[in-house]
Amino acid sequence: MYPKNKSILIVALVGLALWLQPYPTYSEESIFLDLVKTTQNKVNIAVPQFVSSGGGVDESFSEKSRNILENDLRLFELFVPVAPGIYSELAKSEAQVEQVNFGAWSKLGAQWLIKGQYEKAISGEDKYKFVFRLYDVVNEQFLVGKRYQGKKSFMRKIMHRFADEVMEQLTGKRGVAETRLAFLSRTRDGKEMHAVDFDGANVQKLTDEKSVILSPDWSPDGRFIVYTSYKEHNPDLILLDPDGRRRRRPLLRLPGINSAPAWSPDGSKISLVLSKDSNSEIYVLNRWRKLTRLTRHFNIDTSPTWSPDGKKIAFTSDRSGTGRPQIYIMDAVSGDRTGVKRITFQSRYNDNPSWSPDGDKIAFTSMVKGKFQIKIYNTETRKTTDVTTGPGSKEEPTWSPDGQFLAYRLTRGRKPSIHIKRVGGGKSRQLTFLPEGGVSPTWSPYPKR
Amino acid sequence: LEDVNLIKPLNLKEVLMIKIKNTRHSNLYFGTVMFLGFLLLWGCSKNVAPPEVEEPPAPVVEAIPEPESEVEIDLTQEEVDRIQESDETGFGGGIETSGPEAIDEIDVVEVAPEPESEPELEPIPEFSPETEQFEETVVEAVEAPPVMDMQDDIFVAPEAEPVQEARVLPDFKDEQQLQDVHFEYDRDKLDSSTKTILRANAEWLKKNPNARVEIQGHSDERGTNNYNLGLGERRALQTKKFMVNLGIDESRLYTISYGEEKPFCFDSNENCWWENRRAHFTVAD
Repeated sequence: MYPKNKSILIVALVGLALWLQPYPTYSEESIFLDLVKTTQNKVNIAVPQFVSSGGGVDESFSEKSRNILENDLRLFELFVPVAPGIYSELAKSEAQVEQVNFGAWSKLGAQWLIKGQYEKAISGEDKYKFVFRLYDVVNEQFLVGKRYQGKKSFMRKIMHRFADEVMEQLTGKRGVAETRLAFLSRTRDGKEMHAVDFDGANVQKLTDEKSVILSPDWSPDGRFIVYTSYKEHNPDLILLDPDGRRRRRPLLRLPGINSAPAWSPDGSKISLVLSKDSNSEIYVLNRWRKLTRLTRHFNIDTSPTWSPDGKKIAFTSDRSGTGRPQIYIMDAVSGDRTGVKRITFQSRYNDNPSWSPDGDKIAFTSMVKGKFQIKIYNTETRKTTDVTTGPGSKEEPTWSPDGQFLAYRLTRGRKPSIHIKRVGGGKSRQLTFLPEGGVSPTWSPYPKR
Repeated sequence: LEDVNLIKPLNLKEVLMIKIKNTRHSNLYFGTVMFLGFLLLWGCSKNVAPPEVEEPPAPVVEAIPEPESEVEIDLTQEEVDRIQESDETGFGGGIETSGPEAIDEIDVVEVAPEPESEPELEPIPEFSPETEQFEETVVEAVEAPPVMDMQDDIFVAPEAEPVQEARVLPDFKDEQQLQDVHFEYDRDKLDSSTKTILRANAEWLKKNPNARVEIQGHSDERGTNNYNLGLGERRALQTKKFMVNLGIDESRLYTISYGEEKPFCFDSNENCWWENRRAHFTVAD
């Protein structure tokens, strides 16, 4: 008995020691950090100036690049960039990128370190090469290295991509710096759609609609955005190619409402609201344009959102009381025929359900004291928690593809704009600054890499 | 000095491996092109979706890159393993051929930290940056991202069922004689004063039998867009139903909901909200 107990004790102690490791991010078996813990324990990361490794020297360009990378890491809210002034001497002394004095970096408070090189490509005028190496300073370990080459205009994308790589090293989940968000802004004639990078830069106008448009939704493969437009004097469903030639194509033009489209997670179907048969009802449009009706109720049904396994649809309905919309879940094939499950009870007005990529959460808009706030319903614990509180009205939440952030419309005064908040994080951050404002955000999926 | 040399041997090895990779790719690449070509031909012959006159069909060259990138990614994963296994055997194929493999605008290469201390973790190129063809492809991808041919996309009406018919609507104009009706907050019920106005509107319609009417349903700014759109629709439908009951031919009445998108009044107070919660009539002959 005694030796057996002893061995168990040893195992337990070793386990405890491993568990109590002050900095367990790197251990080879599990580099995955518990995200909840990390929010209280951010990683201090140093991103010294990139070194020219040949070709032309372009310090302002390389500094611009460095700032984008460093800012991305800051926006993830799991890293704290070390102020460059602290390590500038040390960085200078290490002219070679491969040379890392881990002890010295550690003394200056850096836990992780990114060494970057850039080079103007020999062939081609406009091409740059970036080489990055990420080091774990505390454990004196190389974590990952990447080399990128592309035209100068792709510099932002390259910085975003490596920032996402660094995030993946920390959490096991790719970061979202390379993702974009589309949103609508008000114009004299209606609304137009824009897209913006995760860091708020690189705003591009996607439409020339000159009419009211509504409820954009980015397809899971990133190739399309589907939305509702009044351009032809009826709220029609439009398919837009947000890159490339930005071609616009009517998808469905049934009499009455064709709105609130939501792509199924596999991208093969679109759930949407039509009023062709009755008042607002939810349907599913498949790739052969066949429509399946999911709801049959004389009250309003709207705002469908798919569970990530594609089996269920959450939606809004005022079937429990006219003028008091609530959120329900139904089967994605049989619809409300086989029953609905109501998930909101706390407020008289709830809408905009948005199912999280991990499947265990549904974010939604809820009326609190005459204003809207964003809340999350947990499908496992069946508990509802607040995402936002305080002044201003927040609506229309959309999840980042990693499920770590929510973007939503915030209205304070008359002009709305899009804000981003880390779920469980602190302050929100304003993403859009267009004078025309910003509403109805939709988050892109991860771009292909 | 050793440190200075860290990168250079890397590049040499990479070049070697790129060549290996390219030889392996060439067959697959050929196959893929053939397959895509077949798909394209097949797609063209079958697809009789309504042509958009101003848009010429995407040339074959444009259509190729996109699916190719998927092939590329899959292959790379396999290659990674194979190259790692066979690294020491010293493939020296040296075959220069390479297809336009990399489609992504950015070319990503894994970089090893200290290649000399960890030889088995040599960098594994995901793409082949050194070849001429690659560079051209990249430039193309950058300047003209592959345009998907939407005609080939899933959301295209099959031959049997052409693009959905939309209503061809006349040009509706405001008519002084037809009054708006207003609604309670979040309601679509018609009260007695509303019905009085609608009866007057119906009389006008009877006197003008050629007039067609569009009933616009609107809501105030409170509430969410989606719900308000449904609410505006219900207000328009309720109004239409009442008019039909008064003997107006249903075919003369159109409805459209604007939700909160077209307010009549722009302030945030009850007077203004009341103005905006309305069914509005427009007329065409």
